[in-house]
Amino acid sequence: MTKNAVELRSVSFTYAGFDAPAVDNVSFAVAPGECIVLCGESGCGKTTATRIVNGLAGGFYEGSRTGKVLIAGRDVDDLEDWELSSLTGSVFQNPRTQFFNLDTTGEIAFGMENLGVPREEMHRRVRDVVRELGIECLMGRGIFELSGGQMQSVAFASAWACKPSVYVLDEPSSNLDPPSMEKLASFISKAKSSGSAVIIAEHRLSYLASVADRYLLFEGGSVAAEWDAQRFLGLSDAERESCGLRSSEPPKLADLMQRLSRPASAFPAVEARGIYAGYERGMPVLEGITVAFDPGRVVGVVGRNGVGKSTLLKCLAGIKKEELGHVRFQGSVVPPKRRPEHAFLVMQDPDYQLFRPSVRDELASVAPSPSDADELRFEAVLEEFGLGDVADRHPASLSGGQKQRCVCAIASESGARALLLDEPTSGLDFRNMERLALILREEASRGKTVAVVSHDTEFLSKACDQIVLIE
Amino acid sequence: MRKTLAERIDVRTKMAMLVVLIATGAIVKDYVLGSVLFAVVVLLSFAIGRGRMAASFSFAYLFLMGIFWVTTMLPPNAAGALGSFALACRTCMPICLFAAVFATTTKIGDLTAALYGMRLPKAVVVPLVIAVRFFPTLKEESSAVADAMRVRGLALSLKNLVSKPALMFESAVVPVMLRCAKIADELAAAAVARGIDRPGRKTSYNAPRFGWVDFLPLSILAACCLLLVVAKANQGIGGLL
Repeated sequence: MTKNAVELRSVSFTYAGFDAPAVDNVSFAVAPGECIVLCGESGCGKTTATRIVNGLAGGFYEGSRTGKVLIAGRDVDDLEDWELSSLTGSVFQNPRTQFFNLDTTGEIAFGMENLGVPREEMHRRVRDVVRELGIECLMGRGIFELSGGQMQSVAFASAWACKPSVYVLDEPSSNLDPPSMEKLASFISKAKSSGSAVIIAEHRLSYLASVADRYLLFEGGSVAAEWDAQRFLGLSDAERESCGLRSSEPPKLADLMQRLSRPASAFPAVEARGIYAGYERGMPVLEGITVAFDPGRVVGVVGRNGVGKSTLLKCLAGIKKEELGHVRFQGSVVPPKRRPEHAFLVMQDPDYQLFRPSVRDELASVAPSPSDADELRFEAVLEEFGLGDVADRHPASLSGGQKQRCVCAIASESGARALLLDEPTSGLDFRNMERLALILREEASRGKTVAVVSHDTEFLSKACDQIVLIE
Repeated sequence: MRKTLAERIDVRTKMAMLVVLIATGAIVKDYVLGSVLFAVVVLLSFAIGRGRMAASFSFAYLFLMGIFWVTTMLPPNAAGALGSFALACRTCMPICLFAAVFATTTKIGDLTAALYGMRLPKAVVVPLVIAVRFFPTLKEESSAVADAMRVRGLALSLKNLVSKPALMFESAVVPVMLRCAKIADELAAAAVARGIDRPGRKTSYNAPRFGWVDFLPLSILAACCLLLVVAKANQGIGGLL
């Protein structure tokens, strides 16, 4: 019998300061060359399971663990924390915060520097990695100039360079467009054929269809179900959705393409005409873009990474000035300074937009002069956005989905007639994604204009009436 | 890819230059000589390829000089407070400029290697390196928060600052603090997962080298600083300059 790359035997883990275990009596094994996907709703314990494997749970994140964990046949209790780091290679959700270096080459070498790999060997391995993963064009660059997809490629390369026996990926696709997800899947496939095991915690499952061997469903910290790839792909939509899981295969593009052809009316509510905008002089990101958004519709804005979708939203919201062109609301030209009265941008990361001591206060801060009537209306709004039971909590203590709904509620109350969202589903599980789609439909049905920039085809097909492609 | 001179200078040379500057800055504080020191650093930054940064610092310097000039016309009390604030800022300018050049042209890996090479313990090296790593992140976070404030109708303007100062302060400070705490946490977790805790000798991707690109800027700066210090001493004694 071959040795398992990873084996968990009745493992439970409780974070310091918590009573309930985050992972409760979990057992599974992963063979070399095998890829397993840990899925389930937010807070189900799948991220903690990945942290048990790469040693962060119990090391960096304090807490107590019971049960036995074997990595490459060795009991982790007999290993030092740092020894685990040479056996496992980790890729995290947010590429911006996992880079220790500010240049790509240094980042790929970082793990090897820590392991004390001699310099000549390190140079050779970096060259090999770059060739094996085909990322020549990313070398020697500053990390802040890379797209999310490019950053994840570098993060994967950095793990690859150390030749780990196990790859641990925690929601690696959160900020990726479909081509980047395919690239990630191809890296995973290469890792498998090199004999490493791969463990991925993930919400978006469709891109993994070609590489995953098994799926483990986590519920409340335990493994509630296990499928092999064939059985999982054979699940009906209803069965899958009842587990709170996202689609296992990419949605039908034909359905989305049909919405592409739907034209805007002659009297759009929001219009960008001939917009030129960019961040560096002489290098415009947007070159003469003209788009129109109708009231009462949810419009998806799609296009490959770096084409300027987010920049367009920033121009519409008035937080970025265009160099040429203009923006009209209800037919009249509005200068950038006055645009926040008309349009509210829900940013990709809701953390930036929440700062009051409670969710209720957040709502009150956008009302011109809060009165008793407002108080009553707030209750209704809180219920509608699914925030009723967290109304008095600090926004920072909410889950990602709740924070985002909180910002949407503020947008709804702000008096702006247009709602703009930038990649709203990154990191959202199936139920939160579905709920957001419903909220956007509801806002549109009240006559608001909703524009959503997203790569998430599953979400777009649920939420949008119309798709605009930016090229 | 073409590198600027500033990126080719060895980390230890830049550290030495920074130390020389700090020492000189502490001695040479008056109007004329302080400005000469600043001019030297500006020219140096231009020469090693950080012209734009030098230009923006020069504007800030002129602005501070303007404040200083205004204080000469104010009543003594107000002039004292404002003037000493402007003086403190002005004397820091040469050092700040060079520190900014340092931070933006140094690779984290090289800095780490240089610090370990100086036999500094990990407890000193890691926080120092993370601090340098954090600068650009802080800049990105602040600009995202500024965007978020504009979305909420809290753009940085005199009107908003006067009419709702508390809300303005809250909306700027709370998200930056919370984000920084989160980023620091994630950054540290990623570093630990990749073996930063491993004891024993570490290696570095780039070999540290000391060449003419190091010798020239360092010696020029040291010579200028020495001249300034001598001039300052003579000024104190003989009232020269």
